[in-house]
Order: sequence, then C-alpha cells, then structure tokens
Amino acid sequence: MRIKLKLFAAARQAVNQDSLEIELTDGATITDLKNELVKQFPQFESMREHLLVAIDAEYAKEDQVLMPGFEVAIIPPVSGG
Amino acid sequence: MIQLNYDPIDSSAVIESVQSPEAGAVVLFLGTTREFTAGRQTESLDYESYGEMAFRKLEELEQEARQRWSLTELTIVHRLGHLGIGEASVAIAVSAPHRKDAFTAGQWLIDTLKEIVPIWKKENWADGTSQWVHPGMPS
Repeated sequence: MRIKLKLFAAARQAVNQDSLEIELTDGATITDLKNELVKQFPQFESMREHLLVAIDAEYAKEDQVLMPGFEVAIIPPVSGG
Repeated sequence: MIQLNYDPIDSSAVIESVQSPEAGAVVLFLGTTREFTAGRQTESLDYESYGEMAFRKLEELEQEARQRWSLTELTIVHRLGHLGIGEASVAIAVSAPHRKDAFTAGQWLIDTLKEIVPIWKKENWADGTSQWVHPGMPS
C-alpha cells in the first residue's frame, strides 16, 4: 500500500517538500514505516529515534498498524510556545 | 477559546476573553520571542504547525485543565508565521474563582503545550543561518 506522509519543520526541510509517498507492505506498523522511511530517504537517519508519527491527527504507538486512507504525519520534537 | 493564527496577539483582548464576574483571579502568560539564546543572537523566528492536530491538542488541554482545576474561562492563542524579536508567540489566560487554580492551571497549560502540541519554531540567527528547533534532536 502507498501511504502519504505529511512533513513538518526539519523533516520537511530534509526533503524540501511538505509531503511524500512511501510504499509499505500490508500490515505495516509505525516502526515499519520509520524503517522504510530511513531506508528510502537516508537523510532521516539522524532524526529517526526522535520522530513521532500521528495518524488522523493523533499520536500513534509504535505497534499501531497502518491502513490505506489514514492521514499520516511525521512529528519531529515540538517547539511551540 | 482556542486560536491559532498569523495576526499579532492582542493581550488585552485575551485578558478580556476570560474576565467574568464569577472569577476572583485572572492569570495571563505570554511567551515572547527572545533575542539571545545561549549567547547566540536571533534576528527573527518562524512558527509552523500541523494545524488540525495542534487545534485538537489545544482543545484537549483545555478539557483536561477544566477537569483538574476549578476554572471559569480559559483562552489559548498561538501565533504562527514570521515574528520579530520581543513579540508574543503564545498567550494563555486563565480565570478562576481563586488564584491558586489559575496559577497552577496556567503553568500546566504552557508546560504541556510545549511538550505535546505540534507547533515548531525556526530560529533565524543574526549571522544569516537558520535552524528548526527540535529539543533533544541532533541538528
């Protein structure tokens, strides 16, 4: 399945675009997504362990399974305020 | 009231939004853009958010604060876009019958906002370089 990722801040800057699409096997989890992201885009390697992922605008756990149609966002450490 | 917008924050309007005859205390926190961080000079900052999620998270903060403390009114405004030095980037105003709840809730709200709400700032340094701020992450 193909999953579209929203990107923000340094994650957006890493690829100079605000979203990207990634191919994942059915049943892939958040951990699988991060592994595949780093594999396809090595520029995420140094930030990998700091990234959270949101599904449909809610923080997702590492073992949560992705489904087609989810809104998925890569959330680097936040710095509002 | 929750707001995310690109306009300068009107702190008087934020205070007015929480004033009520039922309140005996109003606490206002303003986060303002600082010129020097660890000796390094900032020229300006840019804020961006994952708008839909940030708004939802701020609403959750409001709900949780109202459950934990006895509050009358609560307003959170976060600014986005390009800010100069000394401008307010965030305003949190809380009113309550008694001051302790207003102070405690206000402190918790800004601390928790900075931990979980998907908003990011970029430091535009005076030397012409810029850098997204991601606490704990190597740059």
